[in-house]
Amino acid sequence: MENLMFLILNMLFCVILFVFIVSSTSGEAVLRQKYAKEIALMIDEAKPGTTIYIDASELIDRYGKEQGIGIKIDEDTRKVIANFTGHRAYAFNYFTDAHVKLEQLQNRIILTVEKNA
Amino acid sequence: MHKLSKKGGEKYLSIWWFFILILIAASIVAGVAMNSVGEANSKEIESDILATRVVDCLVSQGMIKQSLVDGSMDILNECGLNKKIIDETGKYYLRIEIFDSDKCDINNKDFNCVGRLNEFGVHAFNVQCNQPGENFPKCIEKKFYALNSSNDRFLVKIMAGSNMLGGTI
Repeated sequence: MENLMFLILNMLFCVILFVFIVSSTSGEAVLRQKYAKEIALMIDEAKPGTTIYIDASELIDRYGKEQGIGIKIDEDTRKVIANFTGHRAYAFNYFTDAHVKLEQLQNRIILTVEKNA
Repeated sequence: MHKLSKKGGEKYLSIWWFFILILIAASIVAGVAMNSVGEANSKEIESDILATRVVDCLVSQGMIKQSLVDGSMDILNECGLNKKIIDETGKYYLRIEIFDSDKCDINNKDFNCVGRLNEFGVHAFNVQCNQPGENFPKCIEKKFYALNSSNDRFLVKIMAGSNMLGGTI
């Protein structure tokens, strides 16, 4: 009986650790950084008149459509802000002077980069 | 001599066993937490994008824009860069030098000749660039020759640096 308990507790320990590692490495903090940085770099690299389509199925599968895509552009501070759960947001600057429009169409994010008037 | 019974020995062994497990768990949790909190470094990519963007706007089909040679060019505006972000956030650096290559022997590192210099952002990045360490900026340098409309040859050196790490808000 004691041996069985010992074995179960050890297995429980391994499972908890495994779940923690998996959830941490593919967690929200990583996704926030990934999307904010990638979008900011895409904006910086894009020439005026460019439209970029980004597949956001990963976000919709995980957080649902109700909350929206969870990414917005703040043109005053020139920041891409990613916030998927409404708690913590991650922001990353872009340096171009372009006018950027972000829309969501089904599972895609559509970024339109236009010359600033 | 005091001897532990078999049952007592197992008890102590299991306590040590769980102590080791907790130690392993704490190490893994700390490692994973540090990794997920740490920034994925995109400074070098950002510097490269900035430098490439500037090259694209200064030169068209191998011809350097005359306004750049004259010094009348509003570089940031012409290259579509936001002045406030480049100059005021303290995260970017842009250095553009233009040498008249007929007057300077650039290949023999004769940098005593005076080039036209334009600098934006944090000037100190010129020294701090690419120093080892997470907190220093990463910079990219690009050099190229270009002609102006009178077929004078110029060497253009561009250095772009970024120390941008996003942040949780």
